[in-house]
Amino acid sequence: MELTAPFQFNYEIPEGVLLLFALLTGIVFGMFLEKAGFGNARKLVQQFYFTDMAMFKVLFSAIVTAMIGIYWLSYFGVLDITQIYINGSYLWPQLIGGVVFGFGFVICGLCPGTSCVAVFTGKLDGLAVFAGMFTGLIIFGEVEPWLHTAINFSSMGDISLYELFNMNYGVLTFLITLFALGAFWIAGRVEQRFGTSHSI
Amino acid sequence: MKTNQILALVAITGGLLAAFTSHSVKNNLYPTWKFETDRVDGRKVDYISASHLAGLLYTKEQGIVVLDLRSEPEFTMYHIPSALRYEKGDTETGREKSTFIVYGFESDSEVKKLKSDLPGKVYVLEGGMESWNTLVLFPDFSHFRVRNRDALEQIIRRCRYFGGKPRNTQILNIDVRQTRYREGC
Repeated sequence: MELTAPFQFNYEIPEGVLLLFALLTGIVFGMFLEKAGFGNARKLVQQFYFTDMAMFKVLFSAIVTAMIGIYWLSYFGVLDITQIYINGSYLWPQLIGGVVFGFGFVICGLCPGTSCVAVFTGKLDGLAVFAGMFTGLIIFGEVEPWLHTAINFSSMGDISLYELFNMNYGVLTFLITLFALGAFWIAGRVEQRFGTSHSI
Repeated sequence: MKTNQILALVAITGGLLAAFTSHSVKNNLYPTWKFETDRVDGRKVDYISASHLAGLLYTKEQGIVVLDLRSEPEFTMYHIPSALRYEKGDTETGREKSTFIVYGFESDSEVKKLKSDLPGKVYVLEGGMESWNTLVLFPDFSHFRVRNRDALEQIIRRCRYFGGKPRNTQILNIDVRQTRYREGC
């Protein structure tokens, strides 16, 4: 077993310890999601009415934090960026999947991660989403061989944005940071206009 | 100053500094430096695996030179792409580089001598040419224990790039003729 974001240790880490890392990370992640109120479908769905953009801001914060963190950790040789697993890009299938996911998110008020949090805080709607998600996974696993051509349509490989735009990795990191900060500012304005929250 | 303003300042500083630094990452196919250390006659020797050497060559890493210590006929028959033939007592080959990767030596004492002769860091190709052949040029997938499909596809891509041919790919159910595989040197 290997970590998907392996740090460059000079010694072998036992598999059990790696699993423990994963478990602890999962527990802390779940705790923070719940603490932020993301196990509650009502709170999450408010972003689609522009009244509470907390989820949007948290996701962008996570992206920027991870992006800058990965950049500098790999720059100083702590993290081997080339060993990080990159999910392949399939333009049209992922675009269609994104639309379906969006509909599901608005209807249920939960996404996969937050549905897990909702289940473990005893919410029935969370349980329904959780069960639906696993049912969908099982069905997809069974029919995947027949959908192989459609799924692999418009495959772009394991491509990253800096490769796609043929840009310097650092410059792209900076541009995305600016974009995210701009998005935070717009989200704050939108909340002020439609909602009750006044902080960015 | 509010907390979120401080965080925004930290993010923008991190991003701005990133824009002015040169990151060595060129693609996601190969890891950069990864090596093991051993001791020969009490002297530290750094080994680099064939897979990692393939990664450095694939990314056209600057500042390294691969030195082939084998005989001239062996070198002429096949050598690792970009490798230079190195003879005992040679004082010129690749001297402008700072990192040397060597293979094809006959005894450990040769490595010891190389380390004192060459002006930069010296790495030994772990397993020599045999390792290059089995891990890079002709990977046998019946022996591989790799975690995911993308990683397997990367091995095939790498193999094709260096002009090799993967073996036993049928067990992976991967179409190795897919056009997305790039051909290299």
